[in-house]
Amino acid sequence: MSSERDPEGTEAKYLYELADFNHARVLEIGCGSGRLTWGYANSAKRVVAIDSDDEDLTEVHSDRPPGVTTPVSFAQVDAEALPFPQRTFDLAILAWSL
Amino acid sequence: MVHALKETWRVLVPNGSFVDLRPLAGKFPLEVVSHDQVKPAGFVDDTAEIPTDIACSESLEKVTEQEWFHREREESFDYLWYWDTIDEMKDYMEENWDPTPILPKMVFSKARQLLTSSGNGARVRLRMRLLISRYRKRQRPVHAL
Repeated sequence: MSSERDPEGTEAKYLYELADFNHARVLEIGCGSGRLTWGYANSAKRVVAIDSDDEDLTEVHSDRPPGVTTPVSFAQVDAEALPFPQRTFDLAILAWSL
Repeated sequence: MVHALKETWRVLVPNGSFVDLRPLAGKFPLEVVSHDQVKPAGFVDDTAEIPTDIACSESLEKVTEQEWFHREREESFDYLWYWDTIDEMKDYMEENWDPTPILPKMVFSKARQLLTSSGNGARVRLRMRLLISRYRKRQRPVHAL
């Protein structure tokens, strides 16, 4: 099956306009297979990407592009019970997940 | 949804922010594109998701009204999603989207006919509308959620 999402890069353009990734500790909620994550990872200081669906997360590491040096971790987590201390992140991205 | 937003507030640093990015439900134009030509085939009906959209908006309104977050900026834009064939698009939506949007038979047939007549390299695309918003954490919520 061949599909292509947003080859124009409009979504990433708007995301960069509104989100300040610069040296930020980022929490991405609803990361899926990391489609957006790998695009901004190198701008951030650290990324924690979570999804409630374990199936999507199985693909994330195989999709990791070469050259990503920022620490990025993925976890299956319920967004309504985040297992992180308060004041851990500078920025949260709710990507198609609310 | 409000619980997830409350959790987001808790884990953000003072003056931290979150960006909400989501598709807006509605009737998405379906188009066949080849080279620089765009031919309309009809609409895919995703209006079954409108109640979810409303619930999202209400949750976000609630956390802003209760002064947990302040909305700083909001934009919407077209998001284009391409498939090589209309059958692939139909299969994809049935497998991955819940509820599955309605692809009327006439629209399906029209898209298939346009793909055939447009020759090699023609693709079908769905024109969705995305909403992106940035919210800033307020230091001390005045009201409990």
